Amino acid sequence: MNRRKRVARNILLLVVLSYLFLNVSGLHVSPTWAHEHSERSMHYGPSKVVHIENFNAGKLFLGKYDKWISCNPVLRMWLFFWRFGSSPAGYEYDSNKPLDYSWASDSGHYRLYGIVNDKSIERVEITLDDGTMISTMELYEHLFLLTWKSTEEQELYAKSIRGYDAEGNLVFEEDQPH
Amino acid sequence: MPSPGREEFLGKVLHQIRFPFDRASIRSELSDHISERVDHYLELGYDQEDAEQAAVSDMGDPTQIGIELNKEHSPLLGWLWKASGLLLGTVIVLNVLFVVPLIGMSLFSHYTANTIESEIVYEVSVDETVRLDDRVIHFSKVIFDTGGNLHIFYQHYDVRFRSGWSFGNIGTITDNLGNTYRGGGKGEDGGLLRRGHRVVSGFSPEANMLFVKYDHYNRKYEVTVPLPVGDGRE
Repeated sequence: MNRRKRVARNILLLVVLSYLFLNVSGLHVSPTWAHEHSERSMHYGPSKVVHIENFNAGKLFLGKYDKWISCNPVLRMWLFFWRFGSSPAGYEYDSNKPLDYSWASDSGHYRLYGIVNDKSIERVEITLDDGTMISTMELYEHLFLLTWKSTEEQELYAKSIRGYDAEGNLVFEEDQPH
Repeated sequence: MPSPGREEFLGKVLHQIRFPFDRASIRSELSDHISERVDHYLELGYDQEDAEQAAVSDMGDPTQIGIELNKEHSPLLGWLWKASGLLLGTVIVLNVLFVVPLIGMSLFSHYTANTIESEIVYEVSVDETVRLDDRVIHFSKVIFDTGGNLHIFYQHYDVRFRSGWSFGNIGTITDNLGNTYRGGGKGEDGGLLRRGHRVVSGFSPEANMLFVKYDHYNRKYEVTVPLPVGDGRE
């Protein structure tokens, strides 16, 4: 077998074995593929992704599917690969509340996400257990996302959430989201 | 010992070869060829030094030979060959570590074989297949034991043979008497073909119909299993 044929054989085997490995190992070469596969494997979605946010361990896909809102984490692995994070399925939101939300975490990386039903709300703010306040004015088709990281010493949960209008008036407030 | 003339000749040829991993084999091949020529001249009565000189001289212009050999031993093809071989080796190792164990688990798992501790009241063979996205679920058997537990056995696999989330929730379990059963145990093995086992505790012995209804995120299926009652029980 000459060298040209050996190269062709190697490339063919590489394609077949790489496909087999990626299929079976649960690793993906693209974060979007990992997100889509995670949803489909959970029998959820496909959601319409309105925002993708980077975090230390990977990416968060904020999306909406019918009456559900999800924030699906995909995690980076071995530099080139991506794998599922925690469950991709969304929660069924309440359109009667001015602001509805849920939260989840992956290895100390927390996320609180939801929907602003009251269109006057332009800023969403949360207060963590240690008093830290995090807020956002970014709405993605009425969805919002807030992220933070717990320290090794202390798990930090959100203890309250508020929604403000353009003038800074409090429109929505709820304590102890968790 | 190779003569300085031979070494110089080989050096000039190899200087033209751009794929370094081929230089040793080219050197060996050319050297053998020169040695054959030297033997030939020695047989004709030349002394060692003259034979070496004549043999090297017979080989021709070393630079031109090197240029021609470099064309045959294309550096691009050479590096492709090396790189593809290295990558192939890596992928084979990864498959041995990840794929082979999963195939083995699918072939040799006996997860559901000995999980019923009470005596069997009745056993029903089921042959119902449903599909959720890429997942095919086959319900194979229902067993009711003397402890009042109903065991539902099923297998499932991904049509693209991709690994993914486990399938713990097969749906809501009800019967023809209007009972809905929550709780109970469940389990599932790994592998490409996964075997699952849902245990429903406190199942009514009077029920003659079992319903498994799945309705989540706009996906639905329903499996109906007739159950033996009274004299029909084996």
